[in-house]
Amino acid sequence: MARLRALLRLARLSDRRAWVVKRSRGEMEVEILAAAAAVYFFARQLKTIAVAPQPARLLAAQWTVTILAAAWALLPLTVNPSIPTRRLLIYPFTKLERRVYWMASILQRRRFAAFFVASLLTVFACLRLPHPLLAALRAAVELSLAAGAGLLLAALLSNFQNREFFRRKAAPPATGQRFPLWRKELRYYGRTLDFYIALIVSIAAALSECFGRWLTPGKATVPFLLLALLQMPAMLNPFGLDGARQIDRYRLFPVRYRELLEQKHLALTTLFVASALPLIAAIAWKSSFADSCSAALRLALVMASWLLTGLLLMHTQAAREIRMAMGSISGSDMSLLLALISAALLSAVPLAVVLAQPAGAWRLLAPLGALCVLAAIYLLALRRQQWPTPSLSD
Amino acid sequence: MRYTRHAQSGHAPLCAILLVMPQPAIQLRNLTKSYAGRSVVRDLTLEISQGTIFGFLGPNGAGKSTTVRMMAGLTQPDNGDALILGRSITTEALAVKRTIGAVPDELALFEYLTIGEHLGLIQATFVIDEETFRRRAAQLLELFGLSADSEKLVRDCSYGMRKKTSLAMALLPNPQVLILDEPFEGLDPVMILTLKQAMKSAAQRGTTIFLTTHLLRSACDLLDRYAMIRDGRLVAQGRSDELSRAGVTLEEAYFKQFCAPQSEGMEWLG
Repeated sequence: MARLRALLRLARLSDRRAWVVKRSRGEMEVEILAAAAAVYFFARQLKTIAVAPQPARLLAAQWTVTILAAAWALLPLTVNPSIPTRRLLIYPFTKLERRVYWMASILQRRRFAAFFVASLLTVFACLRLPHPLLAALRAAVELSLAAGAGLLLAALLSNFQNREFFRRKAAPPATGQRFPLWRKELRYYGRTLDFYIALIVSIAAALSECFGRWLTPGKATVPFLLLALLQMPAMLNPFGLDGARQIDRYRLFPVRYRELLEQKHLALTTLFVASALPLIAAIAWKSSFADSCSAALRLALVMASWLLTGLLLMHTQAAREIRMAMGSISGSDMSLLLALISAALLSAVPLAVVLAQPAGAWRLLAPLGALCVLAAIYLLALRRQQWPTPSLSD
Repeated sequence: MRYTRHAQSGHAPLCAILLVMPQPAIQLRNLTKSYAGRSVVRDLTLEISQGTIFGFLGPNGAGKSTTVRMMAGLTQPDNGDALILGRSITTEALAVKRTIGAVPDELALFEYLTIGEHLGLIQATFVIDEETFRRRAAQLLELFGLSADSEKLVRDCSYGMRKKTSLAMALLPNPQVLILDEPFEGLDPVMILTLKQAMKSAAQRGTTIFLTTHLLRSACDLLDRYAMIRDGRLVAQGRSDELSRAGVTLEEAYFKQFCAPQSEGMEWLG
């Protein structure tokens, strides 16, 4: 246990240093502001649960528990230990010790402490509801189950992603074929968790559309935007799966930076279309031909907006810091501010087209016009791309 | 082969002679690089003619790998320039990269691609026609003993296999200049011999090879010229045959330059 304690101390030190570096770059202020806002809204929710009239009280309690449960479930999926567990394999640690280290690396996060305190306060606040003991117990059980489900999902995904069939056959071979760079990128991005979550969301939306028609072309923009947002980290940090060595290899190729970027965007777009296919198929099945065309056009508009947003934000420091992992249990980790900015940029034009409520021929012409404008800006911006770090000219 | 013509000015234009001088394949001009205020390479100036096997030697941290990285276009020099076949790496990087094959210090391979797929990437980026690619790839895989493992993911390969993959990638486009950082490290003795023979025959056909190594015994009968670097500065350079004539081995010349530290006070070890 002494060895494990020393290791955890080192991990804490590494976290603290990363925090100090972020603070020295002035990146913590926004995070602190976001955290303050979250605390403020949480306090308001608690106040509502404690003193508001009964229906509002129940609703507030339900919302708070749901949001906290989601946070608990996602916690193990979004925590990467400072010292990767794979690194521990070269040291004399037992399997049990490695697992304890992984659990402890989650427990010693500030996020864990914050969620724990928030959960305790919520459970105590539930004592103000009708049938207080039952309500508090129910909240505690729901939150515990969510945390357990998160851990279980993380463990299952870890087991699943380490299997040979997933490592090899989930991606097409690149040798002796055309477009090897595109195929390489497809293999890499196709193994991130983000893509699979987007696919699950798309299938769920498609199923709900099959059971009851609700997706008009305008409304379909919202799930398309959600798919784009889920796959935004790879677009913001297209070299996120390549370490320094792999970037060296790219630089050794006699290929321009923008040509590399084109291949990466092409692979990401392929995956985006693949993730949207169930949804598009469901819409095509349940809607008229004109509505299906209109929905497809809106998908293209969201895609253009997604590509352009990625291109505009990818050179920011925050975008380069997005951690992406292939074959690990964690998905990508995006800062709150970057997520907000990219969501706002991504959805601005597609939602503006929806809110304008075009009628008649404009139902097709409005998204088509917006698509042409976005595509033109994207192509112009792509032509100007150069290696972001100090490097040699093409 | 590229040549520079120097017209001799004079009073008898009819007798003017055009001197045709072969251009050096590699020219390093005052190459300088610092990291965090510490100079790693200082004013490095070298000229290496075509078809030469050049050894760049020095202790750990002397600046060898940084020099290789600057020559291969992986790191921007703070000052100075590297000219490969007369082209500047700082202003014509893309044209230079088409003419070089490089093995950087960390091999630069993709963990989730197979050995064969890595060669496929070189085919696509250097635009090698299918027939030539198939022939060369098969020969290189055979040469390095990788034929049976071409479908293996790099993440499942040993260090030696990774090194051989990176070497095969550098050789595949048949470059005019090879820049190799520690090419023999991690290879077995038979493979070192095979690689040396391949390098010699390539150099005889005009390929210029710039390599760094710590395996002086392996390199002594390979190098045409050598240079030694310490703390980023060139401290010695010469021809290998001059050393042989003086009855000095490359290893002796190296130890003369860089005295080995003593491990006194380490009696507890073992």
